[in-house]
Amino acid sequence: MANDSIDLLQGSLDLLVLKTLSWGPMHGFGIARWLRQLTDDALQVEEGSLYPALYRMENKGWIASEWRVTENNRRAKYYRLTPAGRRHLTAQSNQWLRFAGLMIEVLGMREQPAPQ
Amino acid sequence: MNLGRRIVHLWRRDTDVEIAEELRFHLDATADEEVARGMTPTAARAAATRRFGDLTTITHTLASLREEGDRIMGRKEWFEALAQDARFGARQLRKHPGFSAVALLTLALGIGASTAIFSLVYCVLLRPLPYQDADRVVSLGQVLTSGDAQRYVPVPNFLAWEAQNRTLSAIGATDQRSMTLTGHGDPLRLRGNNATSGYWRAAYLPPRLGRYYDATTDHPGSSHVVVLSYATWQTAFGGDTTIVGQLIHLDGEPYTVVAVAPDAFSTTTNGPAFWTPLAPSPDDAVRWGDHELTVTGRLKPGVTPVAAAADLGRIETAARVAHPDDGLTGAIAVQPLLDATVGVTNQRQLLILLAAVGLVLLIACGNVANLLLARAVARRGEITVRRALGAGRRRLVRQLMIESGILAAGGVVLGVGVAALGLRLLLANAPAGVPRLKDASLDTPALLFAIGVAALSALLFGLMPALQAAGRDLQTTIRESGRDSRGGRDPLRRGLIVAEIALALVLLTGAGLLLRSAARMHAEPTGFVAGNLLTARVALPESQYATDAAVVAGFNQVLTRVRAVPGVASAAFISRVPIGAGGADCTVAPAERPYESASGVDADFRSVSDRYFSTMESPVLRGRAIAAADDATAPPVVMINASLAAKLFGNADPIGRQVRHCIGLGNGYSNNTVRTVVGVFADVRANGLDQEPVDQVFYPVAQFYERQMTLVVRGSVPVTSLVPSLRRAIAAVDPQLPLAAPITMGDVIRQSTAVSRFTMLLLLVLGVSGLCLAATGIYGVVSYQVAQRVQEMGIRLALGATPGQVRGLVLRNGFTTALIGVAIGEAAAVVGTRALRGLVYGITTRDPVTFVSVGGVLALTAVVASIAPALRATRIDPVKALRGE
Repeated sequence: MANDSIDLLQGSLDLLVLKTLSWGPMHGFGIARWLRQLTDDALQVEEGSLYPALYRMENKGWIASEWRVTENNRRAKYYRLTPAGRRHLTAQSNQWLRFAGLMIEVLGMREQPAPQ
Repeated sequence: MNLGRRIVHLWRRDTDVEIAEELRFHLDATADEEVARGMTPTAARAAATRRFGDLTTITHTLASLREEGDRIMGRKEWFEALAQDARFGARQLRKHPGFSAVALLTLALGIGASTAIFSLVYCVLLRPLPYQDADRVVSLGQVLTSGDAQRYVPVPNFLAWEAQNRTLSAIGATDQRSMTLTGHGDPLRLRGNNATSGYWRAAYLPPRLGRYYDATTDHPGSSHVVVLSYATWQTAFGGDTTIVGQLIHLDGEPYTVVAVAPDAFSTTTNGPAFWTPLAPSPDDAVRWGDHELTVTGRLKPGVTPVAAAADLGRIETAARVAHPDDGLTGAIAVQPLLDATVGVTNQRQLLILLAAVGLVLLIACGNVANLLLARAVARRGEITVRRALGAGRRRLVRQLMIESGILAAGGVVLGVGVAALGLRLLLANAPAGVPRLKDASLDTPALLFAIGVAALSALLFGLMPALQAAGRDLQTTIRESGRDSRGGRDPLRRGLIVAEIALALVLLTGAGLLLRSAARMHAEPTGFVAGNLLTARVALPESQYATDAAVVAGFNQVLTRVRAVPGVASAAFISRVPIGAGGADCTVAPAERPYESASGVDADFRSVSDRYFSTMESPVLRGRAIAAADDATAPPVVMINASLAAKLFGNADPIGRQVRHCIGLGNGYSNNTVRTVVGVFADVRANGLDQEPVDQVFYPVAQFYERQMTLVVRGSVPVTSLVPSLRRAIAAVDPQLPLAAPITMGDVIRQSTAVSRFTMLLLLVLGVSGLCLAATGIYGVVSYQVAQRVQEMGIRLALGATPGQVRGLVLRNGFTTALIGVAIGEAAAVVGTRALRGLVYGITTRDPVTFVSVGGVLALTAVVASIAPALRATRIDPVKALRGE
């Protein structure tokens, strides 16, 4: 399982967490589970980096937190996206998508294109 | 452990608990998941913990991130609270428009007046001269036995300093020279300077055009080059950029223009119009005792003025051996050129003004503080509620400080407007002759000053009421609950009023002393009748009037023509008009005593034509006036004034006695000519209204002249209307002769006192502003006291006190406050007005008349300001008052 996992690139964890929260407030465990399930365990989010990321983003004002009761009647700290976080998510995902597209285009080439 | 630390500690424990709880939830949820997949709870727990990693490290990381977050939040909250306070403050000010308007107006006037005066003072006193490394440019003078500095230096001394100094990188000398520019419209009389080439290196500022002349001109005979001032270049040559290299005619001789000095170079309003080389001749080089050069030096890098003074003093001491009797100590006065340019008297007057402005500002601050204090009392209820709701003392102080900050900001904006207006007004009424004043403007330093003053005043007038309001014991305030039983005995507000009155008294006393001294000065007899008297300068250039006989004939022809002009009642010449021009001194001694001994008296000498005394309507006390018959071939005669007669001859009749003096006809100097005293004239304030009369000796023009003489004309019609016909009369003698600077004698007198009158006017304006501010302050405090004591007054009235008694009570209150202020102020004025020493004339700085009358004015003001509140007190309805409405 761990052998197939992909190490996350710098800054991409933040983006994944923000994207996850864009569907609604969620606690830390929920975020980790969601990402794992979504990628069929290919993306392993380690708790050791998830929680510091959450705290950092809260300091930056991208997310906010509050204590709520779960459906199992347990107290959990829920995180939600702030307007600033949504702006950051939009801007960063656009950049990522463009970058990824270009990477695919270049890496997918079979033959060397003729120089102009 | 103090409260703050305890709170931080509590906070941290909360944080730690939260983090632990969050992580525990995560571990629990992970374990639950594993259990759901079929693990035993114990194994699931172990798996969850393993997957999580190093719990301790993560907890630590989160805790430190949390702490950082708290700090960020703290800052944000602080700024938000600040904005909230500011909004609240602005709302409060809007809610009380009367209070805000009075406070803003008071501040605007205080800040505006001080900024306007500051910009004047900055421009004249503090702004550096435009020269390169201006702080190294110094004025060099000799120290007299009296301890004063003699700014005019004899040629040989200058030459010795120039040759032998080790501390100056450049040294230059200038003297004054007037020449007539011809060939460009009407003949133009220009006042310029002769300057050695070292002058250009000492006071260096790059030329606008061309190159300054250099050391190759520093010998006689090579001097026909000229540097034009920017103003001359503009007015006489229309800013012609091809001027360098052209020939122009000065005093009928050709001069090559080598350079145009930049506009900034002339640091005084009437700076030199041109500079020609100064080339001392071998004769000049041995003329000790003839003080005529102004010497400017540039200190070498790192050399202090003191070191330069020591260096030059060494040279001066050696030079003095040759001439021990000149009243010099051998020491050198080295003064920054800036100080020398501005002049000690102007400097002192401006600094006194600045101090006066500071006083007015303090009074204004006192008033605003009083307003704020009154409001703080009125707002006690509000403040109590806010404190009860948990607002900290610091928060309250901040709130109140923000309110005064808003007031101060408003004060700056309005104040800058007031300053701009005031400065324009001041400049429009400013006297000519204050160096650099014309350039005064509201520039960066002045604006910074305004802002600084506002910030300072916000602190001054905001802090006190804020601390008082916030510092009060909560319990006391609640018990008092809106009713103020201490009214009328508020020591802080009364203290402020006492201080304001004292400050206003110091200000007014200063203004009063100057006023009284001016009145004294103008009441002194001038020794002549100034009405309908015109003065103008006529100069005969050396090129056309080479010999003594030609000069004397020239002046005689001018006089003949001028006297023939219709409307001229009488006309005469004098070398330097009294009051308008300072004199030159030389020793006079009775002929029977050897001239060289110290038996002589230094006397101001001038030459006059016949009919001078009748034209000026100056009395001749004994003997006769100088007459037309006293010509070059007649026996040498002089007139002396009464004080010189007394010094030379005591009570004996001076008429017919003989004297020797340093002056001879033309350029030949001879102490050996024996002259007969033919007349004694009354003492005149020859060197200025504010100067004591000096000893004087007068010569007939034909026996001693200066190339430039002043024409005095008494008209039978208004003299100013005579100027065109006077010009024509002189042009008829020689079309190249200008009639320079025609001005009435009245204006000469006015100009001579312009600077001190300006200072006096400003001080008076400031003093009256201070008085008005103090009066409103007294009015405010007394009204407030009446308002606070309504119940007490009501009880008094109900118990049978007459309205008169109540009125008396209020008036007494205001009057006692005023008296304390007056007493303190008089004491302060005794010390403060010492600064005016040397600026007052005919009275001491402790003039009792001024002190008593100003004290009386202030006490009276206090009573007048208390009258309205006192009347209000008698209108109190006892019933209503007792019901507490």
